[in-house]
Amino acid sequence: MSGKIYVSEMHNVHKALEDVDYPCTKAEIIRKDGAKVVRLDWNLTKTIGELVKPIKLEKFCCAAAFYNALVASMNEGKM
Amino acid sequence: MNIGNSYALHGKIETEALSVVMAQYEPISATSLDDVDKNVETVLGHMDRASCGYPGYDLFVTPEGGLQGYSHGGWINALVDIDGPQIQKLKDKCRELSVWGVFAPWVRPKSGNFAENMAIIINDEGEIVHRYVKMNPFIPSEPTHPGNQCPVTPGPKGSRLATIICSDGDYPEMWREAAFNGANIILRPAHYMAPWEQAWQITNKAGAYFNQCYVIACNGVGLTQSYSYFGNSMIVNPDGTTICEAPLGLTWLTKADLYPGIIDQMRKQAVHSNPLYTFQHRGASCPDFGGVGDTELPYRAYR
Repeated sequence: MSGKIYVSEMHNVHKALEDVDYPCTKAEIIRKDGAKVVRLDWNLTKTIGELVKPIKLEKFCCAAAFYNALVASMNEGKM
Repeated sequence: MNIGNSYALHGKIETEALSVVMAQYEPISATSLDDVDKNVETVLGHMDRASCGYPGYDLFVTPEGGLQGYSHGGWINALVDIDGPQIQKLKDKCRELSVWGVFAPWVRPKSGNFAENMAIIINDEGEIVHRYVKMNPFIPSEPTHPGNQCPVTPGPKGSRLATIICSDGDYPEMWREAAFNGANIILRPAHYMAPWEQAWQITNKAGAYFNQCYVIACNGVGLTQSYSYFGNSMIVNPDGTTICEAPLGLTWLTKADLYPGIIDQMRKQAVHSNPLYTFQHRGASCPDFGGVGDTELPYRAYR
């Protein structure tokens, strides 16, 4: 892989989810913010809904729980 | 979090958290707009770096001379237009990342005045919402046209932002003017040089304490034809204590969360150490003045 690495993906997600209050459910996040589009790479955008749906947990007691579950989900299948 | 007042604060305090990143770096001492373009790319890189290290940050702060450095003599060929392509790149990046940015360009003003040393704030939609012209240039070395106003601009998360630039902070009245005009955060982009490392510390902390303001003091680093700029950027509490500081001499990004709503409540509720009230109501607890105090300012230095 060559070229400049895109580094702002989590920043974009965090901005899109500014209004999330914890504890919350996956369904609540998708209902509130699911349509928002975030850039994940130079040539890749997804909606919050597309990003959050594959997360294995359904409930998040705090932001740490959510973001860890999200990153795990984003790394699924990479190895 | 901070020392607070001698009297307790009551009730629930509501505040948003403002996430601030400062970038301390060595700009090229620009003698052309090509050099300025390179400095702009450095800034954009640091903004991206901040988004990687501190996701979701709200406000990005750069030093005085962050776009042009300080070239002895050559600087006059590196002035930017406020509506020019270099500033446009900064606007675009702020909009791209949804962050506010504080930048300090040397500008060729449309007014026809000689060069102006400015601080601008760009909002998260890529619009310039604040312009300040340095009121106290570092004379005689700095021949820029002095400004005469210290505006305060509503910023993100309940902040009210004032900018003073470098040597402005050597004048206690500049800090007071910013706070008096309503600032709860005073930003001090700077290119402060050796051997005044201790003065940098003292003025930032005193400015914060005398005016019950957060201070975000962002300094440059590096060696030019004339000086060593030492860095030690810092973010200071309203009681003068340090929240975080960058080391001497190194390119550095650092970050802090500030709570502007706490400043506002402190100013409403503080009994002792409420300088913005008491400096205009001297001796107010003395019965001779009906509880209002002497409201005349007696200082000969300010007549």
